[in-house]
Amino acid sequence: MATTFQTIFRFLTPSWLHTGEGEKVLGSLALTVDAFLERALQGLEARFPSRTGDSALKLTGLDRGILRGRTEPRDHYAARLIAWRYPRGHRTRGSAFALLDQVGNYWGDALVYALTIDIRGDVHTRTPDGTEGYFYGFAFNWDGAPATPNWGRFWLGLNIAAGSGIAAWGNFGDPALWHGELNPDDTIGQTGVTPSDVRAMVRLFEGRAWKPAGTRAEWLIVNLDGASPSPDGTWGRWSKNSGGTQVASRYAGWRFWALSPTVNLQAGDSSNFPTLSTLVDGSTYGGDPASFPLTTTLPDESIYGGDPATFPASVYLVDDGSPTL
Amino acid sequence: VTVSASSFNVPFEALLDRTAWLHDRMAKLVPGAGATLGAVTVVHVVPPQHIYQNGFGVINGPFAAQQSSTTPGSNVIVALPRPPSGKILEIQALVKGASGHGALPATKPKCELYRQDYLMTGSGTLVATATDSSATVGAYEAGHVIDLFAINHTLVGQDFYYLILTGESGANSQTGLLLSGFAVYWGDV
Repeated sequence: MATTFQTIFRFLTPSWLHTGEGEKVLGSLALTVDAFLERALQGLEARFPSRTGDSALKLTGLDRGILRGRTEPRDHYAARLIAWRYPRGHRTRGSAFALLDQVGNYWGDALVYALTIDIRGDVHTRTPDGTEGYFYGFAFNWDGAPATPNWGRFWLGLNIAAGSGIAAWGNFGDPALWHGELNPDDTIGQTGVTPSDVRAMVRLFEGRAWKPAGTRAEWLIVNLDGASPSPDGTWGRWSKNSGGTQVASRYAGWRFWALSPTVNLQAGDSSNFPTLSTLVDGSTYGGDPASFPLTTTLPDESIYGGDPATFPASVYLVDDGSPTL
Repeated sequence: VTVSASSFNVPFEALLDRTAWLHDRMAKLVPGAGATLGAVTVVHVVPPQHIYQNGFGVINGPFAAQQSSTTPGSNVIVALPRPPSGKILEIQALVKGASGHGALPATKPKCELYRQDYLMTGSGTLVATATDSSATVGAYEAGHVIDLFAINHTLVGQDFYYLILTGESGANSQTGLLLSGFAVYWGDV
């Protein structure tokens, strides 16, 4: 037990002064002095991550631009805050490995590995134990756009470990889907990920961004099944026309979070008129010209009939990291 | 099929595409429409089928009018067919000065748009006006427009609209000003 004025004044004063009313007066004064001392001590220690508490660590982390992992122990996070700009950290910010270090520490053992891949197919990887790797020239044709002048684009990949709790939701109609109701804590595309997790990843590219200057993080790809299909040039949109039917363009075993809002902004393609479209349950539908409903029920059960006074030029779509409500 | 954002975005993108497809076709079916997504603009060329003329003659049947007198105030009045609702965004009088001007006429042609209530309870109300802005004889004697720009007038009830083109006059004026019609830009918003 640390020595405090409350305990020591009994040894420094005569008995008549630390008993009875004297004890009450001196005890009160000692308590006040102890409070001032504790405040000064904690204020001093707040700037030392290894000595301070969670609330100060959070503020230090915000200040130093270092995210705390989802399940990261206090001591581990404190050590990373101390090393915030040496030997790696912000000193190497702008490199793929510096970004992967932040991503890997956030997700911890939930990952098999994290990776970045740019438009040229240059891949950098990092496993949870910090092992780094790279290889160049992977066939990666996201949307068919040529590398020049669209060279400054890259993607982030999370290869999810089995047992991490991050997995695909069930089928449409499954009562367990989104825990049975729309709520702000579930994300649309996968279990075990909250909107806060998604926001944490997006924040890596804002302000003191963990990316090279002049580049743009496009999508975060969540690899749920370990497969490694290559994009075929149609993944810039969620869908494509296949023989007259609109079908998903991206691999169904992966999930996609928009890291830049503009990548999920859609205006419609006037050159495409699908006869049928795939619906949520996997069936197809082509519309019924004999039916013109005046209103429709939205997912939150509200009724909407459209507004003829507005004709939006484009719309932001949801992504797999969007909250369900 | 496990549910993901793709489950919702595939049919939604299909709807977006079909909407864009419809908009694109509509723009192509209506000449001049759809210059801006969200605001439909229709251009309607109105021949100068005049309801009144003073100092103007008709050439090429009803499809053109030509100034035949330089008396000040020589004009031609043309009724403007109108849609049931919407806006008049802009009107361009399509004109061409006669060749042989030594200099620009002292009073250059002028175009005016008037509105007349359908009960004829009063004289027409001036909505917009513009004078020929040609700066050189060369520009004036070439085909050009007198532009009533940014009118943005919302059509009123069942009122009638008409245009008055007043010809050139004064020093250096001469007959032969050709009015071949009006390009009228309608908008829905």
